[in-house]
Amino acid sequence: MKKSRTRLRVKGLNQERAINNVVKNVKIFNFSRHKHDESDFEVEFGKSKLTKKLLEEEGLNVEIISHHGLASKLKDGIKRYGIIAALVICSLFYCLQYNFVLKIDVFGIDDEGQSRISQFVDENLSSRYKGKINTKKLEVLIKDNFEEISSVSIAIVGQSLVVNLNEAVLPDEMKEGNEIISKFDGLITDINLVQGTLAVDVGDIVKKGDVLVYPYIIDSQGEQREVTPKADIFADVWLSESETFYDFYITTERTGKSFTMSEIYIGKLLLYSNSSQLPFTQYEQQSSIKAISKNNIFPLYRKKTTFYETVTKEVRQDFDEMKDKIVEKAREKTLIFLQENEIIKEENYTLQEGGGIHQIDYIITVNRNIGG
Amino acid sequence: MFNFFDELRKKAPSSELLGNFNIVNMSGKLVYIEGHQGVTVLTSEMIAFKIKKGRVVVEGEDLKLAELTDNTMTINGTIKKMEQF
Repeated sequence: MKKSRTRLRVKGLNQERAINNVVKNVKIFNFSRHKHDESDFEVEFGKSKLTKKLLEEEGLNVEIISHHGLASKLKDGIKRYGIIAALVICSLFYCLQYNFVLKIDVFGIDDEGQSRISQFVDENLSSRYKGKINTKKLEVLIKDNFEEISSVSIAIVGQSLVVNLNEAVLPDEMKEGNEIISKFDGLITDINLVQGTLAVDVGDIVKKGDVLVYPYIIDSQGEQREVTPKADIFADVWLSESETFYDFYITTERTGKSFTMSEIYIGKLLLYSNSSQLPFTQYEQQSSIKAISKNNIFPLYRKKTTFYETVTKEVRQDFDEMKDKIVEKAREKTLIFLQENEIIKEENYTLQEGGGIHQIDYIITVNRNIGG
Repeated sequence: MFNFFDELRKKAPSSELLGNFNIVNMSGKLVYIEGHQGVTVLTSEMIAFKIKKGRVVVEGEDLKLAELTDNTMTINGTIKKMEQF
């Protein structure tokens, strides 16, 4: 068997010295010199790269002319046919995996529904192999398990299982809902029931949070069916606020006289103070601290305290003179609770007196929808 | 194992023949050299190489180095002259 060798062509001067260096590591065969600066020779196939490197280190130009022998042919084959082999393997793999469904696409429903349906389909797929997927059976399964779906069609497109859905539009009386709760305290004056079962009647007094309409109806067969309750329930609602008046009270006022005291601190250490005996017996004080120098080495602060002289007075007032104003004040406080464009049905007030205290409770009656 | 040069050395008149270089010329067409110490000239007409105490020049036509290792070489071609200096 012919040994595997590589034929090299070397160009350059002083080749003998380079050859002598090469033969210390590599065996040279069939050396022939065509020109004074060009020669050809062979080395073992496995040593060709080393030879090239050694010769190039000597400053020679090296060119690989050819390879021959089994090892070189094997390497060439791997290079030449490797790509073809890879393509063939890839094609085979593609053909193989093309027979399987890789993803499930759901259309015609919201995101949450998509994930639910997708998970359901995934769980009910007997196999990912296209040939074993029964789309009709899946369609029936989806219809049976999801009431909100009115129609479903499933198709295999490429490697996707495409699920097209139509959501069912339920009539209002079929939708489920929560009971209607009273939003205010009041006396029911009028009821207009659209859907549901009433829990109250005209003339009933209800409190905030009481159930007004239940979310079901009893059908002609006597069976209870869940519905979304709808009703306009009007009631007289009482809005109330209070205002209190005192015949006698004590108040503290500033006289206008003041005294200021300044103190200088380093950190928490008092450096200077102009404090002296306070000239007031009754006073209010107000302090402020301001940094003179803003650093951690020498933190200087000035504290300024101002004392204001005050005097206590006894105030006596006549309720009868002030009554109209107090009633009006109580009314204004109550009006705040009126809704936009709401008509006042009735308004009045009550007066409670005793011990020099007069309390006015102002009540405004309006008729408003407390349900719906 | 038979070694051509070992057999020759047994018949040598003195020990000077031992441990130097050996050259075999076969019909003027092939020269085998053992114990060279580096090639100095490599052309198709002349191949020269160093030996322990000198230099050898092989002259001829279409000379080729059939094989070259760090201490042996085989020369092919028409050998006309071999000189030792």
